[in-house]
Amino acid sequence: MDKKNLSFLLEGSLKISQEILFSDVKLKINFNKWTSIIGVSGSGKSTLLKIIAGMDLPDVFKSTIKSSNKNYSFSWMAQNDLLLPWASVINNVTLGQKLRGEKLDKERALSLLDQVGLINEVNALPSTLSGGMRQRVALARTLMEDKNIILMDEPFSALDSITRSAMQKLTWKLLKDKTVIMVTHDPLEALLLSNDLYYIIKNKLRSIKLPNSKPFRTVNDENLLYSHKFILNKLEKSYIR
Amino acid sequence: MNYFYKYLFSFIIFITIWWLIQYITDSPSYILPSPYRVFLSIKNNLHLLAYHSIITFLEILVGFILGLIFGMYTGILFIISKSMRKWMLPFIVLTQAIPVFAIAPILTLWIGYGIWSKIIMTVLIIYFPITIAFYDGLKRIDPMIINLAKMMGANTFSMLLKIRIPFALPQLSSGLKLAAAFAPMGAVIGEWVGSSEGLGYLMLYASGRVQIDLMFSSIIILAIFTILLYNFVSYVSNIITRWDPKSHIN
Repeated sequence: MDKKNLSFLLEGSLKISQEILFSDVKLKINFNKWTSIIGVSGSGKSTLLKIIAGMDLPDVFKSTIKSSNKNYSFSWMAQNDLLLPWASVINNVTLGQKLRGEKLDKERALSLLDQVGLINEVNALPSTLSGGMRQRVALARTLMEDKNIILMDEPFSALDSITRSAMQKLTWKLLKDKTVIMVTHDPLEALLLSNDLYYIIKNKLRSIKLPNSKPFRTVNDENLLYSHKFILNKLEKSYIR
Repeated sequence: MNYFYKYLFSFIIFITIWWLIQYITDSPSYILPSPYRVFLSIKNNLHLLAYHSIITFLEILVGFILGLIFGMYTGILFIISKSMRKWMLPFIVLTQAIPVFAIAPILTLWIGYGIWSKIIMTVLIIYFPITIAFYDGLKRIDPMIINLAKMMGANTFSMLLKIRIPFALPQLSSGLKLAAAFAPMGAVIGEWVGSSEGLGYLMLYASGRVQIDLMFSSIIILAIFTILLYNFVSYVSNIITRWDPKSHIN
């Protein structure tokens, strides 16, 4: 990637029917950093992520959000693992290459599956795996794609807290040098993982100063707990209105 | 194997009830022949029955394959092109609104007494359930999976072949099972309306000569065909939808 382009900017507003969902969005994404967006349910954070990805939105949405650079490629990881139910773990991981008609790089796929701890489940069907394992397959599939920017839509929210914690650590380990944009409703998760952090309040996107420590942060970090309280207060206000 | 015994068990019960009714009502054999008489009739007319069975079986088979091809093709057209769906769907529903019994004589008039008018009848009967079931399956897919595949650089063709069609297989299987049960009906209706061969023809022929036992023989062979076809389709369906055991009917 070009060294001069260390970041890109998203600007614009988003309406649903006539109602404003976001006004004056200014989102600066730094490369090779982890950027998180926190918001309550229905705040439009997932829609924002879909706009960044350039997905088709339902006709009710009207977006003027523009990116300062359109030449990036994205990969996607969401709460729903989106695995193909008939395809084995390895076939799910190599899906992108199959769809593009490329030669399958099985070696790389196997090494990624080894990294996510699923080397013994290579030929299993998704339905035989637990939620955490399925999400690890999705992670391997995301890594296999090797795109510029990784978009994550509440990737851990369907997991139980123990699995979630392990999954956060694993994901951080494998993605720490990539450009990640994650949307979540969990302030703690965002604080543990992010280099840059935004939250959504009253149709605006605002940035938050993070503790000085570097991710992956620890839960007993005093500054982190302070920030956590601060974000919760802000979000609660926006929730009660 | 267990499955086979269940069929055998149902068959024995069916024969028993039949025999009981015949015994209690003491019906003459030109109204209701006993199971034994029908068995004798099958034995004595083996060559005749085999000849007409092969004709009907061929009609069902070719009709089923053609119906499957046309039905799947239409389902794919519907999912690819919105305007196709808009303009063709009412037309297809319209063809179903006309009873097949009414179309049969016209088909015989246009296409003749041969095997093709029956094949087309079969296609007409199964085309609709296959098209609708397949289209339903094709559009049921989670739109996020489509988005994911687009992000991965899928084109229309690879999306169809590797994502949409596999996802639609459980629904297509339901359509196929319906089609397997209906297909013999199409062929027999076609034969009733005008033919000189086939089990449908043989039924009318036997009825006209008050050979009710021969008529029953034809019906039984047709029923066995239908059961075999259904089970074959069901078996293949279960293999292609191994990953979705919920869609299996056993």
